[in-house]
Amino acid sequence: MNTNVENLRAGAQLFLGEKGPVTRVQIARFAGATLDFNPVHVDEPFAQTAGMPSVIAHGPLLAGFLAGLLEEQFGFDVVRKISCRLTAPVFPGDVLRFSATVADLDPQEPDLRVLQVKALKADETQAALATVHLSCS
Amino acid sequence: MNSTAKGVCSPRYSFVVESNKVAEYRAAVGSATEKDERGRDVAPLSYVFVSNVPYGSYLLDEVVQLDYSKTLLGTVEWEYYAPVLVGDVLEGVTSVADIEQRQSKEGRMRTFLTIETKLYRKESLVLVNRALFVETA
Repeated sequence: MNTNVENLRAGAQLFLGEKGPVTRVQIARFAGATLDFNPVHVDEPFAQTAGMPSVIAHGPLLAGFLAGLLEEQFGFDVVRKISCRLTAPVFPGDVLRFSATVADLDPQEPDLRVLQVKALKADETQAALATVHLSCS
Repeated sequence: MNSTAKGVCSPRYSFVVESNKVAEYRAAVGSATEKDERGRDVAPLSYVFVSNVPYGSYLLDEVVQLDYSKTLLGTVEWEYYAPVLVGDVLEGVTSVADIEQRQSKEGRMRTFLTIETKLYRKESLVLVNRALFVETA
């Protein structure tokens, strides 16, 4: 059931959902679906040369997780903008929890609701910080 | 990084939002929602990565000459003007929207690159996608 955007009040906390654990197969599937075979995502030795302990998930995969959770929670028609800042690499095995806070309402745009979203790993490392604009109409 | 690449655009391209490609992408990101509020077969909100990566890669590899071992994807952003439906014929242009050097929060000079894709149904803008890359060394 979609959450009614109009009912979102400033300061409200929302748990959007959990994704993961991220798998190497999932990373490979995303690479195939998007034709993004940057070696840091699919080549373990290259990733290690770049200073990573292993391959990393594509940033857009993380943003895609968030977009999917927004689809489930609010539906498609109300999402106006997603801006997702990637703040830490995501590795195979990571589990991500997405939660949101409703920002103060803008009296100039009474039909707009803005969410500040955090994606946290199990160890509380922040993997992404996003701003989401939802329309009431 | 080739800092003179600002403003370079791909040719205007066209593609069909194919149901099997949408299904492949949906599986990759774990998106479960297939219908929008009006019962239409809709592509995931983040689906644009499937359509723009070939030109995005061309711009990154050949035009900007990005060194992936020194570059991070910092932010991904979508602005939505209409849903992307399965079967849509969309046209797009992908461009090097911005390249600039500025001081990072840590006080170091960094190069920031923005790749922008605009997708149209006929002449109506459907969505804008931006990806901000940061050259770290």
